[in-house]
Amino acid sequence: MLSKLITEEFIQIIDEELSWEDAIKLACKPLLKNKMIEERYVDAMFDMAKKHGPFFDIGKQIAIPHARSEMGVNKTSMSLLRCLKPVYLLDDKDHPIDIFIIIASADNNSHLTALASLSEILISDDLVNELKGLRTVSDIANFFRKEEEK
Amino acid sequence: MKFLAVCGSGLGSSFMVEMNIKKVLKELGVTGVEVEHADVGSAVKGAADVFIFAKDIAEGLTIDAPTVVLDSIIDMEELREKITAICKEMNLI
Repeated sequence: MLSKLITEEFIQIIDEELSWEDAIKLACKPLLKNKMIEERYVDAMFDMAKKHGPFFDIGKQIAIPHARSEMGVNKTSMSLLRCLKPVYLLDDKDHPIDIFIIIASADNNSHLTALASLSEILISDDLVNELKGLRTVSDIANFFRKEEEK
Repeated sequence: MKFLAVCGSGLGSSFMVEMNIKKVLKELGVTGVEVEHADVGSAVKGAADVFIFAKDIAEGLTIDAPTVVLDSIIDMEELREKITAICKEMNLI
């Protein structure tokens, strides 16, 4: 399921210094374009971060911004933004991020299979390093396909 | 015995923690522990025997129950170490 969500269309790579808000907005662009989420979902993620702190930062410089389905999700989806220059979550130097993976769940449940696969990948330092070494959108999409076939 | 993994929304990070805790408990051979995930609002005394938080959530929270605080939720080594310690504390191993 993961590789069906994080396809080429939902992957971006950027080599610019960005604020954390701009990074999340950019990461959400393909989801908005495909009407997977509504604008208010983006704001909901900002509110969530401001209210609860940088809990989207799951370690290894990876962040998984998300809010709840009732906050503007049309379809369960994910998008990935690879930031070649670190982005500081909540402008906090202790939370540099290299990869944003936006998670949108249409029913607070249907994203779990994909999230489980994602978690399997991210607990492996070798796989995280491999993912971070990739420099094209198709390589990243293929990486998820390859991992899911295992 | 119930362990509750907690994050801001109760949807993403906490589910990953739940999965990884189950993995560690299996490795340790601990049985009879229920592991669930929830949002911060559900993390109240009595909701579980042990609460597991990511560091940033824990900062704004006080709960009168055994608590595990994680620096990274995808660092299995850290999780293994801290879950082992809490299992000893709770006399599970």
